[in-house]
Amino acid sequence: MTVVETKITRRDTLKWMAIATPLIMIGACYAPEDDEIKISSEIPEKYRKLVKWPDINIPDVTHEGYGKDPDLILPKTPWPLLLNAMQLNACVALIDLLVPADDKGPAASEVGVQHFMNEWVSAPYPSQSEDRELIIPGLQWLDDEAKKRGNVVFASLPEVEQIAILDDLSDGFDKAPSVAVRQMKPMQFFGKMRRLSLGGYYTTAHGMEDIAYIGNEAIAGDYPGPSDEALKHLSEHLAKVGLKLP
Amino acid sequence: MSDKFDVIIAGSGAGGGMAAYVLAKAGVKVLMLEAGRDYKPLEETPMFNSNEEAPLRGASTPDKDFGYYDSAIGGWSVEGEPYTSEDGVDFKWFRARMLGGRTNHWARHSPRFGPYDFKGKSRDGYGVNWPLSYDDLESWYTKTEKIVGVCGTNEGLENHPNSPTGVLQPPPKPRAYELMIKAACDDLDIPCIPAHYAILTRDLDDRKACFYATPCIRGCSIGAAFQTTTSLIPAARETGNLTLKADSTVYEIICDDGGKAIGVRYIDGKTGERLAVNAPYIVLAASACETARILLMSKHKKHPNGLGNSSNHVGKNLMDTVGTNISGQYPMLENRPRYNEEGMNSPHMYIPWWGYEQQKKGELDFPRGYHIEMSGGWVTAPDVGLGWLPELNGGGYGKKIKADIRRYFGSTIWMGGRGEMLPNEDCYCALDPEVKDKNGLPVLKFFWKWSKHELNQVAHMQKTGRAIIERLGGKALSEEKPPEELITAPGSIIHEVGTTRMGFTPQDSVVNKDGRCWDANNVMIADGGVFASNPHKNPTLTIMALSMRNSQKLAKEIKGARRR
Ligand SMILES: Cc1cc2nc3c(=O)[nH]c(=O)nc-3n(C[C@H](O)[C@H](O)[C@H](O)COP(=O)(O)OP(=O)(O)OC[C@H]3O[C@@H](n4cnc5c(N)ncnc54)[C@H](O)[C@@H]3O)c2cc1C
Ligand code: SF4
Repeated sequence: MTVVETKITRRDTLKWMAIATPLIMIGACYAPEDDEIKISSEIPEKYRKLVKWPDINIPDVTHEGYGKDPDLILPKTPWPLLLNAMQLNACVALIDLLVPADDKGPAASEVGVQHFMNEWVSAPYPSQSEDRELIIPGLQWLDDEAKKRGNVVFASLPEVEQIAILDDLSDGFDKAPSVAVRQMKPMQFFGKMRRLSLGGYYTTAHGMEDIAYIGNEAIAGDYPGPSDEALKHLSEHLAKVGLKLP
Repeated sequence: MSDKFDVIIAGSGAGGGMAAYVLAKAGVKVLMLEAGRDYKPLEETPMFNSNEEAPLRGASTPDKDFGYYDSAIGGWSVEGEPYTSEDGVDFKWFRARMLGGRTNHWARHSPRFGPYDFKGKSRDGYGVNWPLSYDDLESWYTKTEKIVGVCGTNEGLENHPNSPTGVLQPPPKPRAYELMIKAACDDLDIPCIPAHYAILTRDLDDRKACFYATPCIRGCSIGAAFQTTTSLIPAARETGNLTLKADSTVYEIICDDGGKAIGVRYIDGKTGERLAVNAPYIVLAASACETARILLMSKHKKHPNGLGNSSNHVGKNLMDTVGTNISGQYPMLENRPRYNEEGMNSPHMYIPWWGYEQQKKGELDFPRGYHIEMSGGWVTAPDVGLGWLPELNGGGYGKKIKADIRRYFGSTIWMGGRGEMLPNEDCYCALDPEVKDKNGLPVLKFFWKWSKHELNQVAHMQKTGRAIIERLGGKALSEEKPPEELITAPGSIIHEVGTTRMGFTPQDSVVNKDGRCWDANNVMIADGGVFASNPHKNPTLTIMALSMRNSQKLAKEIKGARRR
């Protein structure tokens, strides 16, 4: 017998996110297996050389969530933040490499994505708790790896060396020479941080401007529909596959 | 309570809200008991709040299943009110504990059922017929649409009835991606037309037309998106005939020695006190499963299986809508010229069922229809889930992934298949013999098994969706899998109906065609429990049309009795 109480698994949440908000279509779910990095023949030397995933204490989060009936007009985040200065340092360095400044907008830390990360990993919900178990050791791992390579914490590492670490992670995650590599904790950490920092970045006012989102503005009268330019673009692309604009 | 009431209504959602409106307007004294708290959309709707202001950027959590700003108080779980499912069953039961119930955040897709939908058994031999026909309900649909405010077009399609001229408000223009899907549909000989939504595009009474800017799931404080809390309930209150008591959970119908219903018992949610109130008529509209639960809990020597349950049909015939998701990414939507695509936040276009002829010829391996809804593009502001997009393009990091986000954001479209499920013996709810809620009341336990009809239908939905994606040169975002793995969890489409179905005889049903319990003529059921079948067309407009029709009859009866 299954009793449905307030416990909903992360899978359920994801499933519903996919149903309710198509924009949150989740591709593959990360399901890291062992805490140990699998040292097997499937894992090339380059990845085997990475430092061991740290076995550190992850603080228990006993704080309540915002509850079933929070104030929607003046939202508040009730849980205390967990990341210490060291961890935030590593976090800032990493998210600014993931989401740097460019001609369309500032770097992630300039719009406070590290605070969003802190809020996220400190939240008492199942999905965030799962992320916490990956991200808190992950930030430590970054420093460990940096110390191995350059005797300083990640944030103090020269940028070329930071990038060398990121390249290893990105190769292991994105080019996935094997499932075993992709499932290594550092790779999972990288993939998670990338998703979250982009999510945190593009939900800010700056991010929305960067993405050129138009909306949230009351329109008087009828909905105007697509612009002529948008229709022309669509029509041309439809023609390429032999279809007509209705 | 010292006042005298003609009718007690349990529940203030679609069914209860409409009943209160009709009865109060007719001069009947109504007491409405609502389990949830009072809810004031004018003050509480975070229409323009940004994701950035919300905890976790508004992401969904078990506290707020559809995101922080979803107006639902409750959701997939309700504090202190668990439910259970049979082993291996993952029934999803979405409940809202608030004035207005789930009408505060429903998606508002509001099609009429058609003539075939009431007579399925006569057409294909499955399920049961309704004791009502489309003709019986037609004028009630029209009256309901006028009060609710529904936009859409009359397309004259088979089994998709037109509304009389002037009833529907004009639909908003299609968005670019909707035109794209329609282009593929035109080529594949599939219809794609404006959907009917309970959203105003013209002012109606003191409710304002939509301004195309805010997610309707948060509620709509200008009253454009229909919810009973900005329309039916305030109007009913204005008559002076409606007394509303929030935080009041009805748990039993009181019967006299002869077994006649004379009132209800309820729990004051604030004090925990158990109270009782009497009235000559009782309307149950606590939502299909909760209403069944109240009946099952109303045990009496004359009603040993629970009130209204001499047929043993209470809780049985439970149906949800068959659902499956087909999402695609469309290169032709990448890097396209920006424009305001928000619109009324819901689909402006959808794919209605078109396979009647094929089904008649026996060419399809499932007997009933489905439709496809769609969303995506730039309908809502960027949310925290968009970080996966660069994975479409090899991932990486740095400036490259920022460019990826600009390129891909708005290029994914979700399609949702929504199909008619047939009732079957394995799908029902009953009182759990062991588990109790915070009030010590037995909770519901759910039982479920899809039949081949639903699974075959899902396979067909997937085929259709994938054909559309392919025709447009898009890429499906999920793998092909057997339908068992692609059908949404039972209950999750939130169209649960049938648990107190209407029928022709007291042996095969719980209520008659007027929604009255065969076993207790002064008890009327006004929610989706009374559905004899669950057409794929979303249920709420029909819940309201039936509630209006049956409440009107009830009002006549009450006023007739007064005169005598
Ligand atoms: C996200 C979402 C999207 C949806 N989209 C659509 C759509 O597009 N189209 C469509 O047709 N339908 C849609 N629905 C379904 C629609 O909301 C329901 O069909 C409709 O609200 C049912 O009306 P109801 O009156 O039966 O129940 P509800 O609206 O749920 O109202 C029942 C009320 O009764 C109260 N209650 C419960 N138990 C008791 C008790 N014991 N005593 C007193 N009061 C009680 C509840 O608190 C609630 O307020 C959607 C639902 C959700 C959640
Ligand atoms: S989009 Fe329109 S109907 Fe929906 S909430 Fe906003 S104003 Fe209301």
